[in-house]
Amino acid sequence: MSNPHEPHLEESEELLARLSAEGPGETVAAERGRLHQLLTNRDLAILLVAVLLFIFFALMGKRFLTPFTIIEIARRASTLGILAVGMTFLFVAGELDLSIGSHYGFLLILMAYQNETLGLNPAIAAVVVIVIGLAIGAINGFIVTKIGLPSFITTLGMLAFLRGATNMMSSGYPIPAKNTDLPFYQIIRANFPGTPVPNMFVAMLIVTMIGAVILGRTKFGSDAYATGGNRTAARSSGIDTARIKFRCFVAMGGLCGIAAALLFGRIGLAPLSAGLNLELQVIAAVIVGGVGLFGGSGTVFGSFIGVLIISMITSGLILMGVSQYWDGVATGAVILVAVGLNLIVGQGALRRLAEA
Amino acid sequence: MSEAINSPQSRTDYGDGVLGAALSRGDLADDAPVAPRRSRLYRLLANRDAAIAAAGVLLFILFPLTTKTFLTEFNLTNMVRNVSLIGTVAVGMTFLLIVGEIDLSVGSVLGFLVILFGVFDDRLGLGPWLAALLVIPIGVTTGVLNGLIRVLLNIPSFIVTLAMLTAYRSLALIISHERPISVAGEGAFFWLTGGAILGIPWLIIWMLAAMIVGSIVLRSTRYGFHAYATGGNPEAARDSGINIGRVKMIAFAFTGGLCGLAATLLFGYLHVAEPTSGTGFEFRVIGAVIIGGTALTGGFGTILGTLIGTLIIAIITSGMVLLGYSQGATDLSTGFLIVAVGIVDLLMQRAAMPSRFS
Amino acid sequence: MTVSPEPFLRARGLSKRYGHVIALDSVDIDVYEGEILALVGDNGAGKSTLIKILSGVHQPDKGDIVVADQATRLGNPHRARELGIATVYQNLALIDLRDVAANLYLGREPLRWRWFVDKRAMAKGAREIIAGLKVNLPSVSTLVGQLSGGQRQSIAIGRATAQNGRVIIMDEPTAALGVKESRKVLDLILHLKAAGKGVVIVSHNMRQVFSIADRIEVLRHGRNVGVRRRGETTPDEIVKLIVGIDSV
Repeated sequence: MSNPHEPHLEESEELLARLSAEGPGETVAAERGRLHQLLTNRDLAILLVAVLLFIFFALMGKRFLTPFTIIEIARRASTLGILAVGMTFLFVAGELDLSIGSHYGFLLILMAYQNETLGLNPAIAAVVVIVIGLAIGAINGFIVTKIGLPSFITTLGMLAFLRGATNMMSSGYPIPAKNTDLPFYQIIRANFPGTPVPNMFVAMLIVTMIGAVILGRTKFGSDAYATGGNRTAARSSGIDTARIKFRCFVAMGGLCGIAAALLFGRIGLAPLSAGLNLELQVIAAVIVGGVGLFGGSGTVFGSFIGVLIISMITSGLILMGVSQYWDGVATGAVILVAVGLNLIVGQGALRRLAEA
Repeated sequence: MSEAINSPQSRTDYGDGVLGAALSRGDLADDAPVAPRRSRLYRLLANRDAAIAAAGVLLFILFPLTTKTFLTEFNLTNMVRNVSLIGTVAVGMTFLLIVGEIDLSVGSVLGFLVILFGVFDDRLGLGPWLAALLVIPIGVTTGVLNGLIRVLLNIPSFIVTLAMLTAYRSLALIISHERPISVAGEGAFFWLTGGAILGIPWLIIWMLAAMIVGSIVLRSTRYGFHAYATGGNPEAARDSGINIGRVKMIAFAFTGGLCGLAATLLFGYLHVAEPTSGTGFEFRVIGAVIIGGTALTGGFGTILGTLIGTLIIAIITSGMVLLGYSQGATDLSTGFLIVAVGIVDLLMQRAAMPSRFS
Repeated sequence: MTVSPEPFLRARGLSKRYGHVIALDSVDIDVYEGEILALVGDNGAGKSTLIKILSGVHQPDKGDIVVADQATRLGNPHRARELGIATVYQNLALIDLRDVAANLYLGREPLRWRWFVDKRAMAKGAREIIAGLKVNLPSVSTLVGQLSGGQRQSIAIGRATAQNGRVIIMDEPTAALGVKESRKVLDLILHLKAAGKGVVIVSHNMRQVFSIADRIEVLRHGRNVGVRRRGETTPDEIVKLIVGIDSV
């Protein structure tokens, strides 16, 4: 009786009913089976885009394929990649953190301060900075989950707050590290033994893999997807959504600390405008990588590819002789295009369904 | 971002539902009288406005006591400049927050437009009047662009404007080649923007004009009513036939135009266009609007409140500078205020209208 | 009061799809003034889509609508209201932070000098509506969010009836009410019918449907599967139509 070309009406009705009960743009985590397929496909699609982009830049810029450029991209990707893991967790759980740029900059200044003014061993400074990062993340998480202030305003305020704090501490000039012969610096600056791959990049890969395992294979991870996908359903299934989100914020803070410590180790000073607009690049990478803005979808692997894409774009544009400031415009455009596509293709259709 | 939750919860027996007992037989005698809840909300709101105004007065007394230079002419005129620019754009931001949106890019747009002004006036030699005539509509266009992307592509406004923030900052740096543009600054135009009449700086007059217009529109026009409805309950507004897309677009366009006006005033006052103008401006504008009582969740807010909030932000900004803190302290305190006031408002709203929060 | 011979609102062949999903497939419906029509069906049957089309919120992909013998397009909620179709939604669609008067006139504020709202006329009109509903309110400038549940409901209804609707559509009017309140609500619906209005109620509650409806229209999978006069059918038959069990 029903047209064989249309999906079985019972299922779509069920979906319709569930959607009209739950509101637009939300998928239920229990649908993981089908959703999982979709995600895997999307990851492959993004990988394809990355490869094409690489070929494009290789053809357009004469110096793109040099080891120098590749190392450059790897460096850029290291910082972005570490931060992107944290942002992926937050997005999946249905939140975000706009403050990571100034958070990172603040921790970087703290590294320099501890090193120069307090004379601390950089390894100890790194631990302190990571702990402080975790604490700031906890503050964000507390305000969002316990008090209930929306994450974008909380982290917006935190962004201004930390930027001010960084400004006040930096006294206008970059602070150089004291003794760069220490093993801390040497290890970070070296390459992975036997390969031309920088240790920083390896560190990022390790963080990414740990993140991917946690998000993809542990209960915490699937709870996070459920929290972002449909908070009320998750809560009725007994998931403590507040705790999940809180931990994601804390993790984000800790990752900011790790990234700051690594960068300080690599370049030995805290640059003045570190972290400016970094949040935008990370968000762009994560969105390009297929992580939805509204939660419940996306993978760490996808974000990783997104990081590579964004890093390639930035380096590639510079090599093509384009002024470095265009990268701001490019990043902005990339975000809009990526989000727009995401919404039109993926959740846009669901949203229209929900209006039924 | 509007997060209005539509489910009316009731603590009486009547529960949810469309038709109630009250109608046909005057059975509302069963309901508790409205009075206690009413005075609770009104008292809270009235208290809040009074508290903010009191805080403002307190600051105004405190700062001169701790710094010798607060009440000097130099500082007061500096404050005037801060106030007017923030206040002018804050009118638009008030509209945006009321309809449930936000614009994070106003600072970068300001920088971009002031550089454009410099280019039009000086580099292209068009003169300041023509430059103003061009820059303000271009400002409106930036707002329209934000609005279009928000409404047509359904991308949340903070993402759209966050992306625009970097783009316009980049454009400002590119167009200006990272160098400031300055002019001599004589003539009627510069008097009308940076000068004063009867002792009152024109900047203040422009700001007050924008505020008066904004206030009238919000309180007395059909658009204003629709704006409050759109932010308060978008579905209800849409089902009543209000075109919420158009309502939001107008708010974005208006804010863009006000950025253009602010850029014009800035150039008129300083005679200089710097590509880094407006950095951190958006925080001060948002802070002013929030302190003034406009809710982040939409549907609520007044221009008078924004005026008070602007004054407080301006006092804090100049006070900090005078106390010897660097520019960073302003950002720090603004960020803190944004979160703190946001929390206080949230808690107050929750206490006064539990039905809005499940 | 007898039912008028011609339907006030007649729709034929309404179809609507969202992407792959067919919400309505060639649905017909007649609404008569002075009659209560119950619209029933399971989740996803298309009831919600149908009433949104009839109230002008959504547009059908196909189909004709005739209101008072005039073929028409209900392009937007304004148009539907102008033609006499008023809708009260399940979530009340009220703006909590605005006052009673603003809510009663939502979307149709009286104007003065083209752009300005005539607040005095609005307040006066609001007071009249409230008085007519016999609702006890201290002032029409009270914020709706401060009102009790019953008062809020009355505001929602007042808004619909004040629009001089000839047909009132109600979505799940007693969904979350207790027994006593539901009874009052049903009494009100009968009151509206006695006043000559056509009423369409969407409901899941068979007992209530059989208590007041004159006719019952059943939808399933977006299609008409049956319409019965109340006296000529049983709850069992209706449920079978809803669920789709053919006779055994």
